[in-house]
Amino acid sequence: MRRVFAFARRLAAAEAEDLVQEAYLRAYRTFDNFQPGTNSLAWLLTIVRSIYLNRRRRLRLEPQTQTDQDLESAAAHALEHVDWESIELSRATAGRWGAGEAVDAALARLPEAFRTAVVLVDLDGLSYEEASKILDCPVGTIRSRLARARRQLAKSLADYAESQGLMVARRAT
Amino acid sequence: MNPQEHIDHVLDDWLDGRLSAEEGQAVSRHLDACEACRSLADGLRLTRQVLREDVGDPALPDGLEAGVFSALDREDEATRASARGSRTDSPPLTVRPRRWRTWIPLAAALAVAALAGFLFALRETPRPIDGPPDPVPAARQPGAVDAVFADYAAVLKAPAAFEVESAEALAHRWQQANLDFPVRVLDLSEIGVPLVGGAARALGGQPAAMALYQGLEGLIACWMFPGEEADLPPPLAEHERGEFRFKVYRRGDASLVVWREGDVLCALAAPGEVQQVLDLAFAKAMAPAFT
Repeated sequence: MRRVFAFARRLAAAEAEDLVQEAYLRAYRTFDNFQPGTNSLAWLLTIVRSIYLNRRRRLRLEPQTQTDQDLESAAAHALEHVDWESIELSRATAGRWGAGEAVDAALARLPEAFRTAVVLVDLDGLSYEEASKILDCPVGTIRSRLARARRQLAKSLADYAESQGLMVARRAT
Repeated sequence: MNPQEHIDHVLDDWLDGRLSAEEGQAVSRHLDACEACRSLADGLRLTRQVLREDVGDPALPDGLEAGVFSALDREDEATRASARGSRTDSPPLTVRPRRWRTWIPLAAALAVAALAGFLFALRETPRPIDGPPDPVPAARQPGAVDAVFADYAAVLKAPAAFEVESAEALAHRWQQANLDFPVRVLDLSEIGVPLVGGAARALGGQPAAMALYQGLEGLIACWMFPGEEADLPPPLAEHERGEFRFKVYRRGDASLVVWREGDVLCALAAPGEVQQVLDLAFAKAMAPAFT
């Protein structure tokens, strides 16, 4: 239930508990639709997202579908000359300098389409194909949203490291 | 063409292991030569590492799990009430109302096959037993539990000797042993646990009906035999679910759950942790018999 709640909270924090409860009820009612051998977590998350979208449609709130290529390009360009080696990036230290909190905060700021892609693939460990079924979009769309999300998060991580004095300067271009 | 842009386009596939060996080697060679792409790849790799290792899942809010259980209980009750009402009408229901407490083990069994550590393994907090505890009998029979564990070990040594082709064949085998207590061959196929064998057995000199099932982690044996709960030794733990009270024992790698069904005691032994075996025992208690 914890993974389901985490996913629901990233979709809509204020409604997360309701989403989880309704998802379990719907899953129970439609369990005959579950195909044994398939990813049951992915199935549950699909239900959560379906409920979320239906609620937004009822409220006439269209889900964000930002596809800003300029945003992705700017982020990638900014990362080209980051001196990652100047940051103490060992696994033992990443937790101590607040990298997790910084990335989590950046995750919350992402557009919903980008955020759900990285949550499903990088946090929930789903494949591109499984994520595409949950989000009801082509695998190529998952790939591009994931790329954009990761670059935004990487830029946030680099910015945070710089603000913490963990990266003295960016390499000269 | 801008080679950097080209490599940027495939970096995520490369990081996620989606490229062929040849494509991956081409990317690696490019990264060796291109500082800008290497910097981007390092940043993406670190970000993904931080996401997986340092961005944790939030704790469940207090009451959420209980709230979900309550909602499922209400759903069950509404479904059963509907089924009871429909029996006075025609046509009768063709689908037996499902109880969510069997659905959880069902989902767990399927989930384990699909995804290790599936979140569906909801853990029910043992409810305190209402009323006074069972009185400790003057003449306790620790042998019953010992006998079950011993029989389980014997069955595991030679499971082929107990093979049956069908539930009907097992029922016939029990019938030939002239067991004088009610028995039923339970259908656990709904939770992905097929019947593979069984026999009439003797537990400490007393007759018992044993059925053998193939679980995900090994063979599961289930016995039915006459007896009283008060005659059982003190368990490792007791759990109450619905109308059933389960006593839990553990010996080596096996967990044993014992409970009463009507006039007989049922015992279920399986490899694995206590909670998993308890879930299975509850599913058995609720499962229909083969028809």
